[in-house]
Amino acid sequence: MGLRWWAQPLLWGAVFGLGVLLLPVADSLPFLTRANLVVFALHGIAAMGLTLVMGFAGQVSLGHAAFYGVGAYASALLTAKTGWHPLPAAAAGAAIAAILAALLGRIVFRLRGHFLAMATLAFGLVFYVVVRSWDSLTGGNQGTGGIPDLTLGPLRFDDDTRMYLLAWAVLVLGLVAARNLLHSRPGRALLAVGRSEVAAASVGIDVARTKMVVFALGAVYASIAGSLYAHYVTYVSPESFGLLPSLRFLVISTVGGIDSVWGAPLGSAAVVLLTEGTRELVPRFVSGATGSYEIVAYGLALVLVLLFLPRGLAGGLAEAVQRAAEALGRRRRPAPALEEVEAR
Amino acid sequence: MSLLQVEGVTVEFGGLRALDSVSMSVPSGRVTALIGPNGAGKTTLLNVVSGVLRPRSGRVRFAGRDITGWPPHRAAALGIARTFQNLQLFGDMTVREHLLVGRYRLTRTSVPEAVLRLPRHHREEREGRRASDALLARLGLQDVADWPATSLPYGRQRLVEMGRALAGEPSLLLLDEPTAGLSGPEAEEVGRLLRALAAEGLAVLLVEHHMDLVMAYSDWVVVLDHGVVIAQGPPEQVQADPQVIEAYLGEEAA
Amino acid sequence: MSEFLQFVASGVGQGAIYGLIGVGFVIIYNVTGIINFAQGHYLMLGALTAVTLRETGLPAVPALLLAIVVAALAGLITDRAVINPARRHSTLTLIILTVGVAIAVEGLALLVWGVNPQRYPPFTAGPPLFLGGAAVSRQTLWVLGVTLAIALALWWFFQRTVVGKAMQACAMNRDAARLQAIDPAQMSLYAFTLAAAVAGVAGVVLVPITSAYYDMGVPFGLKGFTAAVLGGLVSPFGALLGGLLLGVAEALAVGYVSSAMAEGVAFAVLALVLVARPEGLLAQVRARWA
Repeated sequence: MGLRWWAQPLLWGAVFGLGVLLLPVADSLPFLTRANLVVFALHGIAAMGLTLVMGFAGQVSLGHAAFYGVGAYASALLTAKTGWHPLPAAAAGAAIAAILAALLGRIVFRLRGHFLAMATLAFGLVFYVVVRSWDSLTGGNQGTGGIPDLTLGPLRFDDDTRMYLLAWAVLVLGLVAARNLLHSRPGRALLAVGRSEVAAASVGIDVARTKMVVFALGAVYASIAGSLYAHYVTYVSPESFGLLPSLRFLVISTVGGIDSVWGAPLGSAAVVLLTEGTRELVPRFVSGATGSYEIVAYGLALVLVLLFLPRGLAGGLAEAVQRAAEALGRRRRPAPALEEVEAR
Repeated sequence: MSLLQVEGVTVEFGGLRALDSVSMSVPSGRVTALIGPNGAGKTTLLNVVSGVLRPRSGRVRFAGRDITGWPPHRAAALGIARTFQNLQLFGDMTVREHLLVGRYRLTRTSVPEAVLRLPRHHREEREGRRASDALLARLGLQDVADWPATSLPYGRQRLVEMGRALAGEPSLLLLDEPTAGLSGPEAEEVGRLLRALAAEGLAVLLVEHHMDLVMAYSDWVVVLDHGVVIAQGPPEQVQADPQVIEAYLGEEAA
Repeated sequence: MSEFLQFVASGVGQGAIYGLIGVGFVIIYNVTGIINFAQGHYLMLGALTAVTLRETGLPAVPALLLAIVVAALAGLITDRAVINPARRHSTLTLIILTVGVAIAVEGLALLVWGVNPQRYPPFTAGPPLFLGGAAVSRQTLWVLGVTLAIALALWWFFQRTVVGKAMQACAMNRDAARLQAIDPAQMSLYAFTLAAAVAGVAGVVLVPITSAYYDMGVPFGLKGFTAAVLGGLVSPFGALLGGLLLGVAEALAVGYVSSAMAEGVAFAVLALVLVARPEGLLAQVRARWA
């Protein structure tokens, strides 16, 4: 944006480099593993899709994991059962996810707020039930296995480190794509719809179609992440795509900050730390703790962030940077008027 | 044949007739004011023209085309722009971004073109920047171009909304009480802007309460009362019309 | 025919529960405009607490009442600690907040009670009664009786008490109510507490039938919401009726099609209802409370 042509690629290269640096960090922290890094990256990609839907178009989706599941199952079934190569399988998964999401968007576009959220919750659960019941196709509760490793030409991604680097690269690409989108005509239309549908329509934006498109985009992100996941774990079952994963994505997006594309990676890192940290600490205080009790941390994090840090980690960081810049006398921020308080 | 023709439009809400067989026209190059006591149906009429409401009967014709019942985004794509009584800005988006969004109907960049940064995106962004610079200057908003719109004082926010509407280079501009909450001088500025726009060929339909503004800046006045057109004509004529006076006095007494 | 009646009989029992949860949704929504995603979790708390209290040796009546109080308290805390501070925030934020509460409560339940379902004996021991050829368990009769009692109590509350009428006023027109010195924050508190209490009652009468488990909050919450939406979201009694309808539909689907369908039915109904209902569902908050 008015910078030297090499500035942006350099920045993104630096971002990628930062991600690589996380490898030794994970190694040095006792309760983190490289597998956690893979999860961080995969969930970051999926959550970015949710951020587009929630933060930018203002629509709540509580069924996002369903699209993660579509990608995972599409990759699993097409590569394991029909012998497809991983890349076209992932592309097929993304296409299916996009179509499903567009249909869903079309159907629920009339609903507002809570009702939209409930509808997405219901659809996510319907997907989960269908996958569990459709034994012949998906293997039902047992899931489906024998998924081959991901290969890109001579490269074989068969361990945590390689998978992480691939996933991280995909995440950075996803960030670039999202940023490119937001600073463009269709991206502004998306933002407009999120802020005032009636005003958006008044400038010619087809609100219903925009919502459909953003749902589809969000689904594509989730699906790609799901495909990578399938090749990583080589075995998929419905559990990974039910309500809890959807809620985890919600927590990631919200804690990270739904206003910013950086929210997803930040949030994903936070949630991984939260999850592993909780699993480390809680058993010391509560004997015999079983199940996914880390959701306590999720719920608390969600409530605390929304009440005290509404723009999430990304927003908080941005404010801190801005205040630092002001302190250095760089930029004068306009004084907030009364209206700004009631802006959202 | 005026740019906008409203023919016998009737709108009902439950049992209430908000508009009863309303007919009027808005020609290009003129400022047409729509006045009337509160609840007369003025905003409802704007909503019908802009596609927010579908009339029970009647027709809306734009440039000869029947656009009755067209959804708002399709009406906007034809070149109908509007502002809202209760100010509908895009939250924390900057002033410039508002104007850029306003250009939606003039641009074509699709999602793939945007994501992959294809030539069309760059071309349209350049054009957009140029066009919005000019519009910002015209409206006196250059100094706040990159500020969040909602951080501006109320009067300037109204200007931003008008800028958004004008950014799409409309042929018909619908304004719903654009001077509500504005100071005298600010309102005058709006009036002058409207006259200038009309002189450039724009058709302006203005819902207004500021009588002096209506008198000073409009070419034609249509008076609505309880959903019925009770008078229309040049400002001075309407002002002296006994029915009109009655309608307004009736409101005062009530 | 008796098979059909059997399904109906079991469906009605479950349906009454869905209705009670739905009542909570309606009350909160009408008074505050919020859909409380944690509604089903109050039922869960009531159910699990009842089991624990009984295990401590407390006699049935105080144990059950205390369990209901615990559920009501959860509702109160939800309002005070989470909803009230966020009053001015956007719908999006409020939605996510109640989701956060739901998740946190579920996680807590997991830590306190673990993954295994907790059992509770029926209130009155004895064989099921036979009505028209259908076997109706005694506990189901308890459920129906309690539901009826609650329905009557709610009617009395909203029609005859000052607080109840104030809540109705708030539901019909928040601004006008404010002008009459009715404090919306106060009403919100009452709404959440009452909704949670009713859900708690539902949990307490339900636990002998289905046992209590930490993740029962979501399915029951969703079904309760479906019940509320079926009833038009305007009236608690509509929710009760909606619940009965849903319960019977579910039982029939399970009986005649397959039990795997059970989960799917409610979700599909919800999806369908949300989609088929016109926008008008949201537009009117003209609460018909009697």
